[in-house]
Amino acid sequence: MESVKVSNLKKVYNEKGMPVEALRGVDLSVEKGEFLALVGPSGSGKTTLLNLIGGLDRQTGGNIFIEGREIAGLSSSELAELRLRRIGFVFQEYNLIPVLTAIENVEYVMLLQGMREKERRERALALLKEVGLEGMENRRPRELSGGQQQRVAVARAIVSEPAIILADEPTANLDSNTGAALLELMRGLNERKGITFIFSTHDPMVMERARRIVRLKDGAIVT
Amino acid sequence: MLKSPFIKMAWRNLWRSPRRTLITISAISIGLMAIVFYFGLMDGMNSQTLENNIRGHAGHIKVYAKGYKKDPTLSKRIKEPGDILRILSEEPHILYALPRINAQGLAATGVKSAGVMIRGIDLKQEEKASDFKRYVREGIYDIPAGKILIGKDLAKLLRAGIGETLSLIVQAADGSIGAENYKIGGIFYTGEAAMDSSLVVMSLEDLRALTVLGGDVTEITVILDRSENTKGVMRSLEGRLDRKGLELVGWEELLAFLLAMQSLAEVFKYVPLVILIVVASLGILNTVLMSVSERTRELGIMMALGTRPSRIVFLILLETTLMGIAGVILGVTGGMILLTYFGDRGIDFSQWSEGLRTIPFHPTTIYPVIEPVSFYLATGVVFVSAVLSALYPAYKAARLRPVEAIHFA
Repeated sequence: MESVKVSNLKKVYNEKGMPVEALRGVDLSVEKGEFLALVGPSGSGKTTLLNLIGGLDRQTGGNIFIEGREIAGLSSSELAELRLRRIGFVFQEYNLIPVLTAIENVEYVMLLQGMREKERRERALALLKEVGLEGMENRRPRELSGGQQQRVAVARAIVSEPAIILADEPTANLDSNTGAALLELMRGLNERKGITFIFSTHDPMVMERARRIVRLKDGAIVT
Repeated sequence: MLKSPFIKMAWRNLWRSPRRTLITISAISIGLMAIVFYFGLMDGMNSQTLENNIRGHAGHIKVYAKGYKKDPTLSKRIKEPGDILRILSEEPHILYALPRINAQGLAATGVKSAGVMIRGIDLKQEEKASDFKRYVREGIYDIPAGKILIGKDLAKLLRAGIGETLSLIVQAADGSIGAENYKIGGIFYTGEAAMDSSLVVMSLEDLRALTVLGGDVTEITVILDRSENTKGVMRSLEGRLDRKGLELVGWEELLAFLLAMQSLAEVFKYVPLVILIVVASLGILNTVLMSVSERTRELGIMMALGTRPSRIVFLILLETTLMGIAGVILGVTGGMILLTYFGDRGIDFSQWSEGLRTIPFHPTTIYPVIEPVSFYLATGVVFVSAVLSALYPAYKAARLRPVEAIHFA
């Protein structure tokens, strides 16, 4: 089954009274386990497409299916539930909740899912170790480097074993070495655990590592 | 439910801006402290005014002959009250039983005359029970044979002063006209218009002689250890005194007008509370709005992770609840300290006593009290208002669209 399928997806924004077509009838299928990059210049619609797939925004037209389930008619609470259980996010910045420690940030998703404290703690510790942050569990985000914060975000994104992880320019604020290390981490998780990754990026490092590249321009897929 | 981790989150969120949180908590606590103290002062003044009226003239219970209430004349009198006084002296909770005579008459100087209510009392007993002495502004609080006390307004009306002679004329119990001259020994001012303009006080013996009442009295004023025991004592005495042709009237009936006035004033007591709530709520609303605005991106991330809108509301209300709890604890503690301190020492309002004299039997030194109802009401209302004032910002936060919040600049 496809992890994600969008058909004839459209999104029109209202900018200062003028309609702007961010997506103009996009068709895309993403299989389970893919490591895919959405690539294009600013304004091409890649972030918009990612936001719609993640249920963070609502389309103007067309359909979106996550694991075969149409998400267009879902309420805000239902979309929240979908994101909680099936979708992980890694953003460009401000990923972490500032008042929570690294381990508490990872535990947060499991907390929302109703997992017990002991189990939460065990899984969070294991994941932080897996992303190379053993010993940093009790640090607050401000005490972590940019790369370390992104690793915590990745740990949090995979902790509930989602169907897909959506990463919006995750390496944009990192130096090349840190960015490369982060990408290797995510690639490794994709290969070992079969988690589908969809990136929105114009970072060549990401494009190099992606197994599939989808190019967008002016709200439409060009290749 | 997700209580403990969310409480931790809410608490830590409060301290992201310590100054703002402390100012908000201070606003709640200082406001509540002021209200608790103000209520204590008002409740203290009311209860002391009531107590002063009871001790000053009304008593907790009055014993009358049947029919005296409707027809307060010498014909309806308590004959040979010794038996009754003995019964009363044996009754628990009764501190004093004061025999009195009331008679209507005419007071006259050479120039003016006026209708008066003459009261005969046993001063030695009355001194122990009542603090009427403090209302005597001129002359001395003493009524030896031939001396009387009159009200300030009556003195003014009759153009009479200390040491001057007043003639009193009454219809005596045997139908004859009683008339005698007395010297004015003291002038009192209670603030109660009827008393100050028409009451004349003399010794029981002098009035007995004037009214030819023999050993009888027209009333016995009973003073109890506590007002709360009034109903119980009345129930206990009713049967026995009824058989002797007597009836009892409690202070709630005797001071019905004062109680009605105090009930009306009670409404105005809450005006400062309403003002405090409005001001504090607006302050909290502003604080929480600012806090939510600063965290827009973070709230967007939380929603992206799967936090439901209802949980966002819960988190924000929880933050305000924690501030409310802290503010209430500090406010109540501060208020109780003030009430306890001044409850012992009292606050002297004598320099404003001219204004306070409009209240009958007003206290010049007020001892604030803690009335549970007022206290819980003020605390509860302030706390609930504080939390409710965060509803709008919480609603706004819950309505954020994740995509806009995450990319909020």
